[in-house]
Amino acid sequence: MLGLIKKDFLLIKANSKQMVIIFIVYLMLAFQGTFDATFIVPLIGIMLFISTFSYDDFNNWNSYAVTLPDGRRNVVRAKYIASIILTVILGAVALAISAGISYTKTNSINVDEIMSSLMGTMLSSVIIISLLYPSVFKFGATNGRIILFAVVFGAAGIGALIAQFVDMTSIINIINRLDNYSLIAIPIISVILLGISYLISNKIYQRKEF
Amino acid sequence: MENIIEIKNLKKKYDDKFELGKIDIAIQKGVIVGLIGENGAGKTTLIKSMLNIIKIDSGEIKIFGKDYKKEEKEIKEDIGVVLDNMFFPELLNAKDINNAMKDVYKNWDSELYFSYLKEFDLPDNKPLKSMSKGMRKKLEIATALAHKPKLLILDEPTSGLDPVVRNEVLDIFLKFIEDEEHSILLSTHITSDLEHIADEIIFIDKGKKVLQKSRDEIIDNYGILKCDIDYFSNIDKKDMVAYKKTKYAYEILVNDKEQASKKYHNCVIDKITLEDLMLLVIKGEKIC
Repeated sequence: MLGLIKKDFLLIKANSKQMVIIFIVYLMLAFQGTFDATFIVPLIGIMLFISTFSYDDFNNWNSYAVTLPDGRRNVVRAKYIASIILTVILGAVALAISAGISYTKTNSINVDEIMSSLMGTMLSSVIIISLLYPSVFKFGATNGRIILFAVVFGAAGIGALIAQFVDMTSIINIINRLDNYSLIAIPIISVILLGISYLISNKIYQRKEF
Repeated sequence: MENIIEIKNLKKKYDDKFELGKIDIAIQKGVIVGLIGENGAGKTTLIKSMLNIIKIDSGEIKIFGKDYKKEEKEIKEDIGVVLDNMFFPELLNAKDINNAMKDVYKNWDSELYFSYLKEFDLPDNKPLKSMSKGMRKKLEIATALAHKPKLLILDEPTSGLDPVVRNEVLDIFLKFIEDEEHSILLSTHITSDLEHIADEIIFIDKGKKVLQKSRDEIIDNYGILKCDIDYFSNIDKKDMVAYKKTKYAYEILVNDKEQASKKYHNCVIDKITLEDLMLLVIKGEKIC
C-alpha cells in the first residue's frame, strides 16, 4: 500500500508547480486578512488530492492498480490514508502560517482562535472527503463531483425548505454546544465519518469493473 | 507438464451485445502463448477476467494452481502485466515509477528496472506525457519485468512499436522463457510476431475459443487449398475447416494439407500464415 500512497504524492508533487502560484496568491490574501490561512491551506490540499482521481481516470490507472498485489481494498485505503496525511500536513502548515501572521500583526499568537478555526476547516475537509470519495469511486472523478454537488445542493434546498416549517433552534444549539468540545468532538466525528465513507467506497470499488 | 493457467467454463456477458462463452484453456509452464482474434473477439475480456479487472459470471480460473481470487495477492506478486491502454499517470517519470513500484512488489529490482530503461533507451526523468506511445509501451514492459515475475500477461504489448524495437522486445520475451520456468500469454494483432516467438496459439472469435494448437502444428498441417468454382463440389466437407469464395475461385482452409494434396492433386495448396487462418475463419464460412 505504501507504493500506492507514494504514487499519489508523486503525482501531487508533479502537479504542484501550478498550485504554488495559487498558494502564494492565497497566502498574500491571508496576510491581508481577506482569507484565513487555516481555512484555505487544507482546502488547497483537498483540491490537489482530488486531481489525483482525475489523473487516475484519465490514464486508466485503476485497471492497472487492481492487477497489483495490493488488491482493491488497499487501492481505496491508500487514497484515504494519503489524503488524511496531506490534510494533517497542510493543517500543520496552516497553523504555522496563521501563527506567523498573527504574531507579525499583533505581536502575540491567539492560539484558541487559530485552533478553533483550524478544527472547523479540518472537519470541513473530512466532510468533503467522506462525501466525495464514495461518489468519485462510483461515478469517476468528473461525474462523481457533479453528482455530489447536485446531491449536496439538493439536500441543502430540502433542508432550507424543512427549516421554514420546523423549528431548528434545538439542532443549532446542539451544534453550538459541540463547538465547546471541538478538540475532542471533531477528531471523533472525523474518524466516524471517514470510517463509514471508507467502508462504502471499498464496497463500491470491490464490485467495480475497469 | 504443470499447467500455469487453467480456465474452466469461463463465462462473461456484457449486456446483450457480447458474451465470452464457456472458455476452457490450459496453458503449460515454459511456453509463449499467443492470443489472436479480431477486435471485439474477447481477447481483452479474457485477459481482464484472469486479472480480476472485470468480474466473471461463472467459471473457474487458476493461476500457478491457485484460485485467482482466494490467493490473489500471492498470484499477482508473480505476474507482470501490460494492458492494451496506457495506464501510468502521465505526469510521472520513470524514476517516480521505480519509487512507487519498489514498495508495491516484494521482488522489485530497481537495478534490473534501470537496466531495462537503458536497454530500451528510455529517459528516467522525462514525464510520460512527453514520451511517444512506443516509449511508454517499452516503459510498461520494463515495469512488468522488473519484479522478476514467473508469468507475463500482455495485452497488445508490441502495438505502437517500430519493427526494430518490436524485435528487441520479442528477444526479451524469448530470453524470459529460456529457463522453462517462465511463461507468457500475449494477445496481439501483429500475428507475424507470434509466428516468430509463440509456442502455442489460442484463437478466439465472437467470444468463443475456435482453436488452441501449437504454432508448429498450425504452420505444418494447416494450408489453403485453392480450387475453381466448378471443382468446389468435389471437396469433401470433412476436409474443410472453413472456406471463402473469391471472384473466380474458392479458398479452403484445411487442417491436413498433406492428406489434402494427395486427395485433391488438381488443386494448389498454399502454406498458411496466422493472418490467413484468422481471415479465413472470420470472413469465411465455418464448417467445424
